[in-house]
Amino acid sequence: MSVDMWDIVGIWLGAICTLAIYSFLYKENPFYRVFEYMFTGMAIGYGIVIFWFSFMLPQWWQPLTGQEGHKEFNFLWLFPFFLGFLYYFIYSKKRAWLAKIVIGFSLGIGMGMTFQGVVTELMPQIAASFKSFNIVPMDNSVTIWESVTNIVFVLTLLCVMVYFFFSFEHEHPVIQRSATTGRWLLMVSFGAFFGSTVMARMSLLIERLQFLIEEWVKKSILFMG
Amino acid sequence: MESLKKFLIKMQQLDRRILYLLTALCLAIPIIVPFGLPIYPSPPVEAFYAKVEETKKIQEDQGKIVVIVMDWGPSTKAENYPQSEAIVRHLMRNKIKFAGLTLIPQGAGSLREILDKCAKDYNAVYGVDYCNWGYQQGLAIFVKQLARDIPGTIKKDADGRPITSLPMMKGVYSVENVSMVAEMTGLVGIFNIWVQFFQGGGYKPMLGHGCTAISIPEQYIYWDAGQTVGFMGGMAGAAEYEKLIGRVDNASRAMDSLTVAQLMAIFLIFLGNIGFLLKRKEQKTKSGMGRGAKI
Repeated sequence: MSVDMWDIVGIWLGAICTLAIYSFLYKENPFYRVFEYMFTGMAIGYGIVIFWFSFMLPQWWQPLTGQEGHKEFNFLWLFPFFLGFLYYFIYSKKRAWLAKIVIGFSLGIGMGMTFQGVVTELMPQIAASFKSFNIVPMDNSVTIWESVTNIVFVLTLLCVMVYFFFSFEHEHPVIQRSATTGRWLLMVSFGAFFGSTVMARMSLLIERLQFLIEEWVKKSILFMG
Repeated sequence: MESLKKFLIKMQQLDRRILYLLTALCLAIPIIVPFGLPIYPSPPVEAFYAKVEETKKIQEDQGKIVVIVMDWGPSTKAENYPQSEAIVRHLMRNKIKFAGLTLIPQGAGSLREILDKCAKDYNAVYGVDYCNWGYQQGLAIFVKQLARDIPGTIKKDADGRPITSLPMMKGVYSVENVSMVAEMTGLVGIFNIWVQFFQGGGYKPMLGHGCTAISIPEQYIYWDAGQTVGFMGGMAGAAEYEKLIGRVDNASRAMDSLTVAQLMAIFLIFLGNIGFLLKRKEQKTKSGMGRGAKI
């Protein structure tokens, strides 16, 4: 496997950046700070460039100025520009009301879409929560194991919902015990989330270590040898 | 026994940097000396794989394409990159036509990199076997519009070519010409957009998901409700998918390290809890408090 000079330069840059960020684990240091600010700046700069060349240029500037297949200058494309520009009046004490016009538009669109989104996303999930308790399956539609898991699912759902009923006091022993059970079941779910989070963070570190060992160390030895 | 008790209590004050070093060693050693633990695909990954296989028949019968969405950046590259690569390889191997897309600026570079890399391995032809729609702005509004009119919304691909000039885009007009959307992301709220808005005229394409490990518990809700046909959970999900497509890539090679690290974490949590309980018992004894008293 041959290694190109410029590949090695890129790999060494990546390794230095990685180790600089990880130096924070030992203690706070200026080396880490320099690279942290560099990453932040690069991410913002990259985002702006991609935003302009992938979106603003083909979707707004070229139709506006009549370039690239568009026949002529189309002044109608100035309208969304001015509408968006009104957002910046939020910084003016006197003229902030102009920004409120576009904020109102955005809120209206957002709310309308949220209504649709909530219905299309949550309704199937609510419908799916009505599960069969068929312990003795008559027609093999539900196995005994599925029945058990369905019962656990529904009991968990009900107990957790009772826990979150704050409109009345949990005085009755059944309500109290259900709420306590719901709280413990919530903790089980938090444990599942925490375990998954640990796995996710380990995965991020593994990828960096794979880069350092397989790319940086191995390819550097190959290049020098 | 007494010395073991004291050691466990003293471990509560262990310097964190020693734990960091231990973690790094546990992860690095299996990378240098792999021991090849077996990988067993889980039901959500197997279901996802099976549905992707089905899209081949759908393409032959109805001419529908698949849409791959890579809404991830460097922060979740470790988990989403192998997932994206695995599914692109699966589609290219089976000659299933697909379009790549991203809704975030950071995804544009990775999308191009994965498509170009895999196309070389499978001799996939751009515009015939796959295409790159690039970065598209607008999130929910874009997806809603895309469902109604694909060529009118996308207009040009990532290189500025008109979408309608690509051979594979002939006959692709709306959501009804899409058999499946496979969405890879580590961001909150992006996946929901496809669930909520990419549908029309009573038709919803199959939806598969590649998520970070943090989102795995949440993904079971969507899978249980039938809103997704399957999902890959984190790097482990990617490794399982690689096993199904018969490859050993970065995710599969990382499984040894991940297993050792998880076992180490479980052991340290166990040790830490024993130390904590012993310390609490010692404090209770010292203060002369009775049973049932709260500290």
